Amino acid sequence: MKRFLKKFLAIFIVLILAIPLGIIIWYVSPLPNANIKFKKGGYGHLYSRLAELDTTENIEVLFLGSSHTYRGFNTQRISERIGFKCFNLGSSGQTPDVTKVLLKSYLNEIKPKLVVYEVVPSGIFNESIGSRVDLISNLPFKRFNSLYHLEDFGVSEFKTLILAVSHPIFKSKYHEPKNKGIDEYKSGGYVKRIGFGSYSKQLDLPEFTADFDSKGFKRFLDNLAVIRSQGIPIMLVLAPTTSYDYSRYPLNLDSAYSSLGLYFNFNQSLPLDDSLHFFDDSHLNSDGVEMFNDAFIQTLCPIIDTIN
Amino acid sequence: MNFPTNKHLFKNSKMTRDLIKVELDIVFRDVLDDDSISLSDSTVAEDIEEWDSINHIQLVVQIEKRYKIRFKAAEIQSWENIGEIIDSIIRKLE
Amino acid sequence: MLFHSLDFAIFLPIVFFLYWFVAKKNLKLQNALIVTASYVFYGWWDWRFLSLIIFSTLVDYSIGRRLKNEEKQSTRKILMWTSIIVNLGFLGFFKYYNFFLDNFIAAFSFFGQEIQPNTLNIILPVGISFYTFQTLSYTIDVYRNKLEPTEDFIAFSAFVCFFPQLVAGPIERASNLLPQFYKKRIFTYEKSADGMRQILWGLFKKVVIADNCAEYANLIFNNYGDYNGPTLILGVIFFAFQVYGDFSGYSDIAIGTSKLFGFNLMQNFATPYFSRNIMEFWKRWHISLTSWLTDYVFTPLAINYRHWGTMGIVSSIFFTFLISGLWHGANWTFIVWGALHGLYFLITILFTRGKTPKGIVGQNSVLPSLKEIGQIVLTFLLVCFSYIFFRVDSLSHGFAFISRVCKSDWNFPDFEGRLLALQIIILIVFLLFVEYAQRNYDFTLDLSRFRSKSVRLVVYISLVLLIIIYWPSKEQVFVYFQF
Repeated sequence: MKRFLKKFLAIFIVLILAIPLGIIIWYVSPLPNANIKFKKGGYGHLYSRLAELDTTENIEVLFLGSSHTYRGFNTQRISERIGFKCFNLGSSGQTPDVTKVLLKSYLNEIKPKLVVYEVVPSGIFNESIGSRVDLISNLPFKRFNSLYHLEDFGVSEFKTLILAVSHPIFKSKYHEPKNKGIDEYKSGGYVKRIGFGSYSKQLDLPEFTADFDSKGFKRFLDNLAVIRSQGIPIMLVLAPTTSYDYSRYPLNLDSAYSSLGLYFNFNQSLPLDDSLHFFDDSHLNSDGVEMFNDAFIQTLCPIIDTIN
Repeated sequence: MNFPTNKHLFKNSKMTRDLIKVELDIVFRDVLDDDSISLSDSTVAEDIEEWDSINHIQLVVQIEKRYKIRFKAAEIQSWENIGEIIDSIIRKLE
Repeated sequence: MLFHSLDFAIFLPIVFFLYWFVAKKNLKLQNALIVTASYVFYGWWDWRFLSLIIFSTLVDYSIGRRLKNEEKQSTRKILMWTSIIVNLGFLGFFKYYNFFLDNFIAAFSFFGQEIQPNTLNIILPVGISFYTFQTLSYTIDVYRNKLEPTEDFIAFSAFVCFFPQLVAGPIERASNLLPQFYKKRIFTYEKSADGMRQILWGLFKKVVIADNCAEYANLIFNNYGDYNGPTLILGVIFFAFQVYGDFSGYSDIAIGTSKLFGFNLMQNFATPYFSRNIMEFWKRWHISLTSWLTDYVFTPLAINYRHWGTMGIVSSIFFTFLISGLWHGANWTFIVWGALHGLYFLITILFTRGKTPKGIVGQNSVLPSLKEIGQIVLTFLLVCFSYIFFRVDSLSHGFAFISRVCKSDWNFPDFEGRLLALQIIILIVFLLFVEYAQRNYDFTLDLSRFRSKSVRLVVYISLVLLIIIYWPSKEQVFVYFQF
């Protein structure tokens, strides 16, 4: 037995050292990346956004959510119009557990006067890994301790973490370009899509069922509680999407969100046209964003007044 | 060689057992198509590669044909080795 | 809890420690610990499942005790049949109620009578198909006087619920596993080291091969209308390795884990894709189930109908394969899968006159002969064709799939994620290479011929690294859990 335990311990220690090294070497080598998901400077400009956030002060309105957030709210323009500093902390496919980490890491420092939480169902009821990988890859190193709040941390997240930690060693300081393909990062966190055609329906998407017992939704409720515990009011917003996409949303969504507090669904009131104002199944193009933000500002102003 | 089915000539003796064993060798070699088979009291199915569950049925049928006897299903299921098969054959012939 | 989960990774060392350091003095304690740990392991899914397995255990233990002293044959028969009815009754209800009901309704509506369906929302208890068969082997063997019934309830409970093999086999026989609970297990270094190696290889097969193949098999099968014929065929091959990696991987982990506790479970897979015909395949694939069905379904049937000549044997074989199909799932697709294999089997017997190839492929040489390669490829293709039915949800889905393969034009396979798919194919080739090289051993990662410590260490590190690097991002639950 002693021999077995000794052997096991020895091999275990060797593995603890060899595996992270192996992951790094594999990633850096010409070998294909298999199931290693490391996305520094990944889709959605999260790297730039978090880097800018660390140098921005006096944020008064904080925006959370998925791509509907960072592509839907031109926060620079909104700030100018309402006279309150806004910051867009959306990220690609942001899931509630990722929002939780962001809240734990930033909310206390920022202390905004209002939080705008975009609640597209594919973000709220979701637990997919893409968002976690995005976060781990692009979170500033000094904030890594807040990753402790990630509830779903598995082998895949572990791999990403190893690479995120060791990244400075094998790559020189990373710089994310403002223009990536047809996306342009704007100060304040908004990502503008430039160069788009008019949208026409491409794929048949399945109907979406909202599972209110899901981990995702429960974590979303926890996030609301965390924000409220700091005495910060929340505005839930359902950003506009194409009529085709909207037809997939479950019918009980509005009533469920309304019961949670201040909630606005911008899908029904605006004269948006699928082909004129969207560049894909669910994202507004810059014309659509302008129209949406105008309406949003109108809704926001009285709320801001009452907070003040 | 055909075994005499004349029952009153029959006794449970070692010679009888040896004769049956030789007879079974012939049956097994024929059904399993292997001339190297040589059985003993302790031989079990695992000892002979071709002796699988399907061939087992053929073997039983051939043995019953040879001695013009019929075994009960429970008896067939109870056989653990060649020795027990021989015991059953002798019981049926007595 | 799944074998490749954090829960199990914590559970196992705790039980190991308690077993070898706390319970080692006392046989009863050792067995009681196994029972407790097994119930915790099983209850982790759903504590309600425990009531069923405990009930089955009580019933069969009592029946075993009664059979010990019962001389009257008719009463003995009644006792055995009680066990069969209770156990198969539970299995039948939980697994087949809705299936039987649907077919009952369909049959009636065929004759113009509409019946209101009352399908229940029945949850299938994990592993019920496995432990039911396992405990039945006890009562039937006791009835047949092949086994002494036990008076030791703890030992018997441990036999029924033994956690390494509880949810996905191997389906153990009472005559093999139960006696192992009568003697205290002694720790041996070699056995435990072998166990760890077997677990490692099992994890490799499950995580690297099965789970990654599953991504592609699911993609292609669920959207078969979008892909061309060659892609669909590739999808079937991916599925073939998904099932193999999944199931044999889990079996390896089960057998390896039991070795850690001093137990010997039966081999469940013996490089089945290297079989040279279907008869050999069924001696190498899910050996414990084949053996169980042979002893408890085929043989009794064939013996009873032995005077019907060829028809007797043919019907018994075919019926056994249908039962095998039905065991796998409550769907006509599984029955068709079973029937296909029955057909393959019977045709093979016809052609080979019942002679299975001897030994193993490449018996006395390094490489297989050309003839053997041909046989292996043919057998594999036949098995793959049957997998179409194993995988699809309905017969119409299966026929649509096949028809699409036939009608499609022949271009290069085209689907999303081909770079990763290529890597998986390379890993499958690696798997086959290793399994071929190690084909003469009871388990693949038997490294007894590699004396060098550094070689072994490199093997361990490489495999663990591959497991971690190829660990898929979406969780794939074990395919056979639905059984």
